[in-house]
Amino acid sequence: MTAARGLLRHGLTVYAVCYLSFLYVPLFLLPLFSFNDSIFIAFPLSGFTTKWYVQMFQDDAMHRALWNTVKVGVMASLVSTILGLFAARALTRYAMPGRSVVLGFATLPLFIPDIVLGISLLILMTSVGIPLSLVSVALGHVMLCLPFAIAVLLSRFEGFDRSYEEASLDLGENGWMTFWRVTFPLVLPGIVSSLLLTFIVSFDDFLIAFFLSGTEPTLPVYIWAQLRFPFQLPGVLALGAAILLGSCTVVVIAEWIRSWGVKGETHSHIAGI
Amino acid sequence: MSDTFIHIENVIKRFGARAAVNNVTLDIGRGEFFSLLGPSGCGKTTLLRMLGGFAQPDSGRILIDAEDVTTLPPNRRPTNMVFQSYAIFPHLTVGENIGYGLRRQKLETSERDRRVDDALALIRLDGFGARRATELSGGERQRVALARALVMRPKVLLLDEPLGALDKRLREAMQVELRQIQRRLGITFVFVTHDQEEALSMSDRIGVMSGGRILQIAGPKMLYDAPNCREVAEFVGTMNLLPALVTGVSGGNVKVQSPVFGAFETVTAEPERYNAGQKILIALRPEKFEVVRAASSPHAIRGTLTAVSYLGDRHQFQITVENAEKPLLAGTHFDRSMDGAPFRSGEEIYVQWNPNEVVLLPKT
Ligand SMILES: Nc1ncnc2c1ncn2[C@@H]1O[C@H](COP(=O)(O)OP(=O)(O)O)[C@@H](O)[C@H]1O
Ligand SMILES: [Mg+2]
Repeated sequence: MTAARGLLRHGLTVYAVCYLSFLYVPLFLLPLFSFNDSIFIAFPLSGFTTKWYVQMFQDDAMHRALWNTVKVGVMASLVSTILGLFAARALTRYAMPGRSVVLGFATLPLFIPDIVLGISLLILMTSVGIPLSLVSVALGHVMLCLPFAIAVLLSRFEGFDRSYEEASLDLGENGWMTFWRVTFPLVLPGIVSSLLLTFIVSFDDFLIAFFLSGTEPTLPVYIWAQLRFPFQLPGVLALGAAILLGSCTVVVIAEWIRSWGVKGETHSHIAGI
Repeated sequence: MSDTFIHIENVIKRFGARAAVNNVTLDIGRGEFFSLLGPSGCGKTTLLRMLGGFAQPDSGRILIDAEDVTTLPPNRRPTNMVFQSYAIFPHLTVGENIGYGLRRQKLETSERDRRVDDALALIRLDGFGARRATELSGGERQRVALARALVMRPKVLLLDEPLGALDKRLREAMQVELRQIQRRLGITFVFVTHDQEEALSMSDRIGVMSGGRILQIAGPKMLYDAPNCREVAEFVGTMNLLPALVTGVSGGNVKVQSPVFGAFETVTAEPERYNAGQKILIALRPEKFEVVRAASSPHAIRGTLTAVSYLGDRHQFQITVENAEKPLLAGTHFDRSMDGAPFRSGEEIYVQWNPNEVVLLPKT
């Protein structure tokens, strides 16, 4: 009995180790080889170098692609978060008859394969006559990001006690000032995490950007193009390592903001009994 | 009640097909402490929210200080509300919470600070201004909600079960304090509660609600001594209720025949509600019964003491009598008779009563 349990526990440990290695070892290989002094991605390592990073910092085309991605990401995250704000507020505030249907349609893009989305948007853009550019990419990304924004903001609004707004009106404020003095600060953590999350989603997207970008590539499209040239590969690794560090930082910040928001929420729940 | 300050006229509010407030007409006087009392779900909050402007009546109208406010939004009414959840803004400090409504008024900063400090002193939380709202205890939150509303100098303060979330001792202390603050400021209070003791101890007058209607409006003593229907009699305090028959009415006197109380005659303020042959209920408070070993009055009922319970400040006896469905309840300060021997469960005793303390209720 105890032996069996011991074996089970042992088995679980092995499973956990395998699982985590499978997830994270590839990620560790990226920074590892980005410091390796060879254009071949193979063991044994040939020596330490930072020249790939230097090369990366000097690559103008890469800079432009990064800048494109940031522009698209900022546009997409701002627009989708603002639209998500309206949607989440309407969905929680008013007892709409078709609430679940609306919610279903709003989050459906999560389940449509990106390639289908990308091709449909390409057809739409060309038939409507919108030229392929960073704007068309951003438009596509708004569609991609909106479900994430709604999901994050909806959870924030659902825990929101209506009597805060009523108290503000009662104390003489009008609807608009009530929004700025009460509603907005209380949902701010949700807005910030929505901005960060949608930015990452946009930053990360390859397929839609691939279909919708014209002559100006975003970073993932640029990286994909570089992979055809073997000598560029270590530079791409350096770039990948830098992106990895950047997104980890963003995720930590987003999580920190979320937990900060949740703390306030718990207090307001105590007040609400 | 002095002069009418709040006038509620035929107000109806429906949610779907059900009327949460069903044709309420009610006048509240200037500077009065008025309570709405009733079981949960009877429409108290809905009525209060219509006074505050958070809901609009489907029909009827509401006047405050002779002004029709029926359709005015909350920010244009001379009322302020202490919410059941308190709704203290969690992202602001205590001082910012209390000063929230003053920001809107064009006040000097120094004048604003002074009024916030005064309000903090009023609720005895001096020096709490810089505290974060999330660091307050339940009782402190309640006070801050009160101060935040009072600092606006409303003509009417609306309070929705403000003491419901507090423990018993704090609640009793706050009952006294609220009453003192109301007296001192002279503001009209409309106070919602489901706790009849709270309503009786604090209010000038009480409106008892049930199923969206007002059953009775009266001062605490009147409500306790002369409930006007069975529901009020049962909801306010403890009451012995027994069936009886009216055998005759002459002037203000009603002749009654009861299987338990026998035949007797009593006075009533509303003799027109009764006529001979009518089935009614008679009601008597437990403390109006006198428990004795030897009957000394013609109005005495023989019974068996079946249970004695000690309630701290008094004793409650359960007495089984003939012809009654339920045992009678009698309350007394002493657990012994005049001869000094304690009453024992199982003992044969008499309960004596006074016909003029019997309350008549129409059977509904
Ligand atoms: N916004 C609402 N929508 C639907 N029904 C409501 C709403 N507010 C209150 N009710 C209903 O109206 C009735 C009275 O509620 P309420 O005024 O809150 O009672 P109380 O405060 O006396 O407990 C209840 O049956 C409640 O379910
Ligand atoms: Mg209520």
